[in-house]
Amino acid sequence: MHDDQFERDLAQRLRAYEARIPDDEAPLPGTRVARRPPWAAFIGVGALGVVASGILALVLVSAPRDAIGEASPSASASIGAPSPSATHAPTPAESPVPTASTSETPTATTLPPAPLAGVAWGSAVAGGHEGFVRRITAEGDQFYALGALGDDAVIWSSGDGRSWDVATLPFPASWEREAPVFISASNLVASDGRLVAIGTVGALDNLNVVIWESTDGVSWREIDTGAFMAAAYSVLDVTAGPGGLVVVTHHYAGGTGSAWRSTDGGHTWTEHRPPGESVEAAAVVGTGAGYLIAGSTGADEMDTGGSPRIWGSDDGSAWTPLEIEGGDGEGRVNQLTVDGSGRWVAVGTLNGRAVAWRSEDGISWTIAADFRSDGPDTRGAFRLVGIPDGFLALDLSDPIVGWISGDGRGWTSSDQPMPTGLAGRAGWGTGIARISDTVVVVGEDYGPDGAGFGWFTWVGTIQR
Amino acid sequence: MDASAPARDDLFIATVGQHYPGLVRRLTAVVRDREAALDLAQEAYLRAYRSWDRFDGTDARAWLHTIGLRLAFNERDRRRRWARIIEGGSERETRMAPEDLGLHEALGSLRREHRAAILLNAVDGYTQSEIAAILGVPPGTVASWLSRAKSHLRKAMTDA
Repeated sequence: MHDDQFERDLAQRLRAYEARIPDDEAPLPGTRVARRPPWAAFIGVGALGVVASGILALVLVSAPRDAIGEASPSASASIGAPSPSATHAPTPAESPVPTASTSETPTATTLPPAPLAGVAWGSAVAGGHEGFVRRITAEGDQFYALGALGDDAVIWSSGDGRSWDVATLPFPASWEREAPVFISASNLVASDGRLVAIGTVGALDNLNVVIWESTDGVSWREIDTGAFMAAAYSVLDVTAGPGGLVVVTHHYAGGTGSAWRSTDGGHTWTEHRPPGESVEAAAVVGTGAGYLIAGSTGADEMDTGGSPRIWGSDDGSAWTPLEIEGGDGEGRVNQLTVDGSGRWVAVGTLNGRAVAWRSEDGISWTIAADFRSDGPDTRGAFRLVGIPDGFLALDLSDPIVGWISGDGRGWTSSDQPMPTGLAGRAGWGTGIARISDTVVVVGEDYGPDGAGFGWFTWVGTIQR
Repeated sequence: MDASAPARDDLFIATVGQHYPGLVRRLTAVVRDREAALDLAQEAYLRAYRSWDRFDGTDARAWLHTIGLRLAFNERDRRRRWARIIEGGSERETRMAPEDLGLHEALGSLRREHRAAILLNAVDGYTQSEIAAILGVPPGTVASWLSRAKSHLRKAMTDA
């Protein structure tokens, strides 16, 4: 059966299937509601709830905003503080659940010790129910969690992963706040004594890249990036190296990935696309000697069927596909990193399995480990971080599973899922970062009451 | 929206009431449990009512499906707990028309998220990005879900 014919048949059958689902307790389609439907019985209760939550929200907004875990030395707001926006118009992308009255009180939840060998994990710290964190990274002596809060892109910063301050990024000048707009910070890199943050703004398929810069991590201003703003569409990763800043990008709608370079700190960008058909670039890492991009080639528009690839470049302007074992198979390299000894590890998927590749020189890559096979649920959604003596990897799926390796070949996982979340239930991770021996994981779950969304941070100490 | 309480309720019912049957059907297809779907639909409407002043007025159906489907995903943990309490823990099956049993079974072997994505795409015509916005996941995740769902359903329909 041809794809088009199959999709038409499938749509027709699904419509008929859904239309025949018994509907005896709901008004018939197309008829006007002549009686109070079942849900209308809640309206009285709901109205009371609105009033009550509004009063409580006023109390909370008026209260001092404390940092989670420890008192913040900064006067700026901290994680868990209620959103300053009281007139936020929800979009379909927004979680409908959170209310400032019930979910923004910072709480520390004691979790059982994690069984991951080599890392002593502390308690999960609730981040809040408003907003979300897309990524965590480390620059210098600071962790930076990037995401959104209300109608604003924000960056949380912390020296220890426990006490956080939040900085609000200026709303992009080229967009109207009145429209339902998605906005978020997603990447951050240090370059020439400045911090450069990259994010996304837009609605549905109309997305733009936004870049901000800061010299202190507190005050931020938007950079006018000209054509890059619209052409790059969505930035997946950023790094700094000998040729300047390099980002990898992706177009959602039938597009492919690419790479862009800026030699002036993020103000102007030129495209330098890695060679290959249907390139998808997932991550980029810069070192003193050059850059590496992780990704795939040959994937179809559904993002399936590609083959794993790693490209290298001395300066970010010309990319060469490197030798990688399994390069003829189906999969993708999702993450790569280098440890304190200069050894490289990449993680991704190959023929339906989550695998690790290893390289001594960053040029020739061989398969080093096969994490596990979960059949159709294997997503290879790993986050990877190098540590002085090896590597840490987190399988971000629900539940999170942690892995640690000294050489990239032998990996030890926890026998049980790592405890996560705000109430000790399973959650899913969004990122991991390390400073010295401190590792911070950010993740999301359904919140303490199981009925909403919440996000948390989780701090671990590498044990020697 | 600035309205007095009675007018506010009338406006709410007039705007979102018509979408209730469709939401119940969609949630039934996704969670495969009639009673749970009715509970979720009512919870979705309650939450929509509480958030009514913040509704942007553009697409009530998409808004309700966003709330309902996200609740359906959140329902998983709660249902797991109940499943352990209730003997066997199996889901109560929805009554289906005989001609739909094959498709119903094939859909049942998909993850809940995959079912939601394929219904939003194939029945409603939402794009991957729109589904990502509704379900609150990255577009790449939706692409993966759709690919797996279509592949699975294609095999099931071919084998049938």
